[in-house]
Amino acid sequence: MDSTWAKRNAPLLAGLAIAVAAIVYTAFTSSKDETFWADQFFNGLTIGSLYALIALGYTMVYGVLRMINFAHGEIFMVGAFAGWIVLKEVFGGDGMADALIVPAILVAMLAAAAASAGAIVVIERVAYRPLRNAPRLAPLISAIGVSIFLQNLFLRLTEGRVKVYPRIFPQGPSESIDLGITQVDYIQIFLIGSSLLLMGALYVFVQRTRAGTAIRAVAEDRDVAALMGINANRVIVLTFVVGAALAGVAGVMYGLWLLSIKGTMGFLPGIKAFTAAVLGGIGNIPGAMIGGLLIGLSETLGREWLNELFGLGLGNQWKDVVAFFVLIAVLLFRPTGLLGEKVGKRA
Amino acid sequence: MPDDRERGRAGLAGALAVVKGRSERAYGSVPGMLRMLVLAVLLFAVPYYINPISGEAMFDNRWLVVFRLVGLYIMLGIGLNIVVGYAGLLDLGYVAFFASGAYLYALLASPVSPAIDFPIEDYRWLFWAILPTALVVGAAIGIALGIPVLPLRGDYLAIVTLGFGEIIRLFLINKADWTGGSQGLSRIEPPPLPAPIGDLTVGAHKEWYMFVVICIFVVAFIAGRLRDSRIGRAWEAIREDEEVAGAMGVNTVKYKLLAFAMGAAIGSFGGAVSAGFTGSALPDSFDLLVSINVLSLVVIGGMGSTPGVCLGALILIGIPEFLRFREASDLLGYLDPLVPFANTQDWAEQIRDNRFVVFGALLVAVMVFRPTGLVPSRRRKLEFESPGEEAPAAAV
Amino acid sequence: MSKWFIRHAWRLALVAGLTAMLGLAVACGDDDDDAAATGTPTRGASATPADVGGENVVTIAAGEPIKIGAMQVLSGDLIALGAAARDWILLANEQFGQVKGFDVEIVEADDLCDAAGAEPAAQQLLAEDGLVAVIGSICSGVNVTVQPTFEEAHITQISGGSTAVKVTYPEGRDPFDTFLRTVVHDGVQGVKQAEYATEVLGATTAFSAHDTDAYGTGLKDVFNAEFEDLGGEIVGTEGWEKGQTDFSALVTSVTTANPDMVYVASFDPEAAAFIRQLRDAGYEGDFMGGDGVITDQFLTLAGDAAEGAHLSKPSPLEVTPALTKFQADFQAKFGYTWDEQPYTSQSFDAYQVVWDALNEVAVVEGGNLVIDLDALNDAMHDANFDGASGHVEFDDHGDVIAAPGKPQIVFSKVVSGAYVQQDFE
Repeated sequence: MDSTWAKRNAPLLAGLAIAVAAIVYTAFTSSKDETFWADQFFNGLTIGSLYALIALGYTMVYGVLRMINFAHGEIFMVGAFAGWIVLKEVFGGDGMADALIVPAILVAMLAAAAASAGAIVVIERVAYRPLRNAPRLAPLISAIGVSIFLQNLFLRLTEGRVKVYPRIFPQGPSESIDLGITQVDYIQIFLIGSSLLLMGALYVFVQRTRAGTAIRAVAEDRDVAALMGINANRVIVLTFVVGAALAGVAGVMYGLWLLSIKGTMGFLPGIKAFTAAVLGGIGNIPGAMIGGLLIGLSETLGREWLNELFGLGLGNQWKDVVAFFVLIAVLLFRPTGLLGEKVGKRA
Repeated sequence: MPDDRERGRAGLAGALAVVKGRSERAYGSVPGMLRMLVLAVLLFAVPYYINPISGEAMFDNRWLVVFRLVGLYIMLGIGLNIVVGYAGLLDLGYVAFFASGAYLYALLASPVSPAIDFPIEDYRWLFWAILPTALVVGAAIGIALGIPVLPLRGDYLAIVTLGFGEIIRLFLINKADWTGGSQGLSRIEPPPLPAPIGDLTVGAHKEWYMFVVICIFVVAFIAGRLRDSRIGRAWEAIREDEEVAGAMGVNTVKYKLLAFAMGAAIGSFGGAVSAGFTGSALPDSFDLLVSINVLSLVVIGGMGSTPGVCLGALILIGIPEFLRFREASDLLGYLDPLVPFANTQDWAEQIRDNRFVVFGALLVAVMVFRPTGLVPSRRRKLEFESPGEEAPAAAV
Repeated sequence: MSKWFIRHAWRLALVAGLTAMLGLAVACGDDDDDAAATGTPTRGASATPADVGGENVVTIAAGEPIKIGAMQVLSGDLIALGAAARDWILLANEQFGQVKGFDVEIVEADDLCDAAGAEPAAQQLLAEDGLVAVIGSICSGVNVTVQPTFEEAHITQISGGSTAVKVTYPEGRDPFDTFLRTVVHDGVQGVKQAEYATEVLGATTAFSAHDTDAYGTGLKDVFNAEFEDLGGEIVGTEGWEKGQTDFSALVTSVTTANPDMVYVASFDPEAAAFIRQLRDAGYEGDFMGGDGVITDQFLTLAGDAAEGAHLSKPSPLEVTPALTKFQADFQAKFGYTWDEQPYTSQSFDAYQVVWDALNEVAVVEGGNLVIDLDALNDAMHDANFDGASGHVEFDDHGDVIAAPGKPQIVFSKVVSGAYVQQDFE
């Protein structure tokens, strides 16, 4: 067994070996100190966690329906706005009492999850369900339409202006933990930690609960699952809802961290998250998590590493290019993504 | 001498037979070809229609500018139709080809271009030389982008092509010393035409419109012939089920690359024309939204069908533009007496200001009510509507 | 029978659509005068036969308004910028009132800040009868595309926000007579900023951050070149795409390089997020930005992180009672502060240039108002007054020049959450 496994995955192992060698080489010859690399590492993990949360929504929906929900980035945006409204109107924004902060954040996240879930339920009913059996591009175009609709709706509602989250999460030069090699901000820990928690919860949900098993069943073969007594429609809606809730919470986390939200904020993270889902293997939940983290890391750490290795001057403006290159490179060697796709028959 | 006349008549009969045969192959019948001809002439003469009431041109520059834009998107749609509609390859990065043609022309024709440093004004005929070059360069780029994505299917192909499109756009913006950067390349001299017609300046809207009409007919003709040939049938086979097609002996690699090449060639051609009539190439114009627009109009219009593409372009590109005309709000204002409670003029302004929100809703509405598109090719309709049979899984 | 309809539905739809278009064109035909791009001599609102002779003259019949076009970006991502400029123009329109007894109407056109949207917007404006001038656009890409069109139509364009140098310094030809701008271009601002950085801030190293739009890259290029000419060192130049909010990777690069100052060439939303993240990461050097940053929104978005930032713009040299009244009126009418977005006071001054010139040049003849477009252009070129954005006077390229003895670029520092002007020549 071992030799055939090694032979089959030879290119991957070779690639890994080269990568490790390159990392070691850079570690010894880099002009930048370890703090820089460690910082970029944590930067990558932070944004990568958000990408991972959003990517989960894409991948779950694809697993169940074989459909790219192009509007998922806008669901993320809706959640961010819902959280903003709650924090400002219900809790009083920047002026809220210190004791209220933790409950406020929790309530905001719940509200965002609810808002995003509500939005996706309506969208699914109106724009996706009628197209269940349509040619494959029809739901995609419909999703694009929803995306454009939501983006421009929120742009018009806010008159294109940026809205600001209350700065209630402690952020600042000293709001961090000293790891010796670098400082990790509280907000970064919060983001990475919460994302990991949520992803863990999702994994348990999908693997251990009845509802989760139903989702997996429908993803595998919708007709047979129906034969087994599973209400496919309800499971599909549940899948959408879970994915949307995760994206909504990601929206609030984004708002608490970066503070500015705008109607068009979901577009680029949506595309990155979709990339992450494909990178990890579409339909594959752990794949989406890994894909998200990988995309986040390649934007920050990967880019700087390439700069170091090849003397490229790839500044911040090239980060999307690096992310897409990583995607293309991975797909070239593993056309169904890193962990392989997990889609059943298209029912 | 009777022999000559007989020979002449025989020659004439022979020529007529050839024309009949050719037009039958291309248009299904002689009347079909004549119909196309009449349509071509009608469209061509649009700038000259005289409004009977006022004696002025019916379609002034405002209209011509919009028609020209719609025409450009029709061309792009026909190109993408080949990739997505005929061959079933989901390409979300079509803007890359569009940009390549535009920048090919702009890099050679703009005085601010970093690529050249000779007096380009002396070589304004360059445009006419660039047009066929754009086709070739586009095809080459199409093949270059097609090779790495050959093993990818469906949605993987979509995201990778999207990635390519974005990479190209970011490259255009950030590699300023090669591409002129985000300032773009502008002040391109107008392509010259023989004297009585006059140069194709940025302001020569009539002439540009007619040029675009000619281009559309040429491109549509080429696309139609491709579809009705062995190549087209190979594409159809690949679209329906790639593995089976391969098993039946269709060289999928060759035909997929050919589809990319043809689509890219047309896209590139459209790009060169676009750079010509705007006189510039600005990287902001080549973003993901263009790819999405072209894909949407192809799907909305009906995939695999050229009239569908035309209708899709008119609706998706034309309507947001027409909504901005003063006439649009005036027209809706005429409805005022019918709707006593509301101020329809106000509504019209609201629609105009919110036209992109309306656009999004329109996409959803059209898809929900006509999933095969507004003017689907007959084959799609059959596929979709045949009772008791589900849509083939691989069909796009 | 119905089957026939269904089968030929699309053909019927096409025919119906074409008929509708024809109907539209015919019905509104007599209001359509297409003389603009072909340059026929007279354009009139109701085609009065007895038009005053001469080239490029606009005659406005009694009771009809004079029209000024506002070509701005009114949809999409940049709507905040364009809408603000348009609101300023509308307020100016209200405040300045009539010209010689004729109303002035603002006609809006959305140019989408894109070369594709530019020409349709221009054509729409040119199709309006009674159009005498156009205020816009903020986007240099749009201007570059439509300058020839307006030149052909003898309509003067005046922009309150387009700052690319090449708009008034076109390659291979003379500057466009029909283009003016009340905003200082990048070539002036960038140079002055570099001087301020080296002389006042005493910076020897700088990190240059910019947005990847034409505005950001253009301004950054000028600043970098001048800063290095003056002996400074640019330790890094990195960009971001408009709309970006997560700058953590960039902040890490900056803190590692630890320059004396950070220079930003972009608009306020990104600059605000960037400075906030910079300060949160512990960076303590100086921060400098330009006219795209110095807005009220920057102070709101950046909060206390904005403290100590140095920003430049051509700003009102004296706050006159008239200006105070304008500010109050603006807030009352539109609900947000007058200075929340950049390029608003410049658009206001642009309106004044047009209005003053109209008053000078328009002649009432037999109940109609006659305006010679070329004379209007000359009068606009001759403008000379102190407006909301500073001194307004044009050079032969159409750029605004400084009042004699007064600086064109003014620097402010953020102190306790407000802009405090600094002395610098």
